[in-house]
Amino acid sequence: MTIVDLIRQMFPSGTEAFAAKREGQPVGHNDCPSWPVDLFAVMGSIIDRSGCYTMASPDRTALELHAVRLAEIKNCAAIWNGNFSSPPGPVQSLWADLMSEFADTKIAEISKNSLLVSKLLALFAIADEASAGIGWDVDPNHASQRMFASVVFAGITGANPANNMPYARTSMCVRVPPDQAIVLPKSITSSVGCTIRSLSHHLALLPPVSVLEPEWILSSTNQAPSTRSECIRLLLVPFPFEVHADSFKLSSAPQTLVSGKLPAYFSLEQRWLDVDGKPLTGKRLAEGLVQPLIDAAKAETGHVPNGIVFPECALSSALAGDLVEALAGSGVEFLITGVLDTTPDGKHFNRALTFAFQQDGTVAMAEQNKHHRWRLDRAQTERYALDFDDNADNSQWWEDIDVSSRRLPFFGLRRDMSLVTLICEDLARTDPAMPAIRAVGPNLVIALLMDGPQLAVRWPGRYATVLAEDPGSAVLSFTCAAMVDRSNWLEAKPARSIGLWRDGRGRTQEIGLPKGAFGVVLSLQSNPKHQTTLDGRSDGTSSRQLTLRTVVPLFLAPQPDWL
Amino acid sequence: MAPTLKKLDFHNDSRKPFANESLVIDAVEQARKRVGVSQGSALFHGSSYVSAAPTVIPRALDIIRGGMGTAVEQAMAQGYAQTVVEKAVEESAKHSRISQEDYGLSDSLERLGFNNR
Repeated sequence: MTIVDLIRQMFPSGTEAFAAKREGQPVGHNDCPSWPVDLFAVMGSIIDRSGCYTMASPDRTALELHAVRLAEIKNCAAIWNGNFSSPPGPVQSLWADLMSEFADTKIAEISKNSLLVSKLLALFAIADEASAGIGWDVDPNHASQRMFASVVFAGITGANPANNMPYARTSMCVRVPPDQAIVLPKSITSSVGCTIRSLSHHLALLPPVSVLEPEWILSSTNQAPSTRSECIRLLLVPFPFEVHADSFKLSSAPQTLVSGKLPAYFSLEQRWLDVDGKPLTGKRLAEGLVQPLIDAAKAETGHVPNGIVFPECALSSALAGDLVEALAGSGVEFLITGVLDTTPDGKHFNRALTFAFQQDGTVAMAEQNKHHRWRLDRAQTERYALDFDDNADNSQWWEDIDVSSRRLPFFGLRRDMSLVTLICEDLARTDPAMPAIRAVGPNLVIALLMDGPQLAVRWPGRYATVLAEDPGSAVLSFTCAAMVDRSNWLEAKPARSIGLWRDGRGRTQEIGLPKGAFGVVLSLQSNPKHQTTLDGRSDGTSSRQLTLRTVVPLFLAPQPDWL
Repeated sequence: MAPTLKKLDFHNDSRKPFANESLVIDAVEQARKRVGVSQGSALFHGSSYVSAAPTVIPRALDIIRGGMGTAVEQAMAQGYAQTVVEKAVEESAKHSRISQEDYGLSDSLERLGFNNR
């Protein structure tokens, strides 16, 4: 494949993004893409496929020249933002070179031509710099200097339907369709390794839509921009506190298929959502547990927690919605929970829901189904004292859930924090979520689990380390007290660790739940972080890194009698 | 548990602009004019995006809304509205290319490291 082949493939209907400028014009590729995100997508794809990002590091014998080049990259980006109707002359000129001199260069041959590589890297860097702030809040006082960010802001917030972007929320591109490449806003620039992820500050190049559909949802609060360190408080509610063995059911025994064998499946029945013979309501859950925990957290820290987190499968979607309604006005900004839904035809859905209270009184929510089934084995059923299958010869049971719709919502929750949620097994599997998470680099990854104690030596600790190093996200794995306790029945010295924190600075902290405690409040510090790309571009310390400050267990008096 | 109609409006969208962000929206409106887009016309060319295979899987949003219109239906309706807007602009908008200043082109290319043109 040649450069021009790839350009034509990625722009099936030409490079011009603006509707008014296409009037009467033939579909073409000779003009530079007028939308910088599209330029980023195609340059990133060429650079990534050719591997020429390995040549992006500055020549250490000519640093002064490189400094001039970096300044000019920022200058071109600023000019483009100031007059966003057409790319600046140098950008158009470099594109024209690509389409003439280098059009027939094979992708595999690009790295042999240093001049071509330099031009590709320059176009990529200018597109990245011109896109600064895309997907995030825009400082109203600097809107005209951040025109592309302003246009995206107007598009994704629905301020004027005429500004809608064709592929939002899945991609910020206009002319490059998601089946060619996806570009989303970015939080953290990977500081280790040498990949294309280390080459951009403001945009993330993701693989094309296939089995995974990523999303970007902006849900920030109306805070004044700040360059100071800020504190974010998370209330962890390790509900349920009791799970009976009969919540696990054999849903289908092993079956024979021709000469092979279909495995057994198990399903989960949320018996903990029945209290005194009645379904638990959101109002009762709020009044009896969550609001008292919010009050206790406020008493301990002086502030209402910013967010509340429940573990995997803790609630149902209907109950979660009721709980969110009951918490409206509590001062909490967001709530994340695992839910289990069963449809009338008997299908089970293991999901993560993220709710964000909006200032207009609405609630933005993101949802995703678990991507991978949990496989219980004999060692785990014995550890958790589960005995739902009379067949002593059977030693493996797969979670009976639907995994056919795979989304990955990234939430821009605050000016200083983007977040993504994973469900249990999805933290351990590389595909399909990890490439997207590594590219976007969310500040915080929360893994909702139904698992035993969260110890640094166990599997969540190992996989959290991977994301904490590259891209550098803080990772919180969090499970329910009930499964921790069941797992601990075999331990002489049980560790009641409901969570594990791992951050980009290398700190690992097990989060214990003392006997009698019903929740834990974490205080996280959001620190300004300076980042540099492979080619030496600074982000001006615009990124944030979350670190853990304090862990405070929360006790309730009187204790809820229904728990 | 049986879903109940919610008092709050649950949705899958990004937030709406705050009052103090009207400056951002105004700046975009000015920029739209510079690109030659008339009021109410779509800024971007492109067909509306609906997932290649619209999901038929019951979504949590529908469960929570408890009987309100499904998310899929709403997404398709929004897509239709956008298509109508785009069709209108294709019929009415006039081509208006704003010439790009070519000032300092060779100097700029040289600063970028390309002086062998």
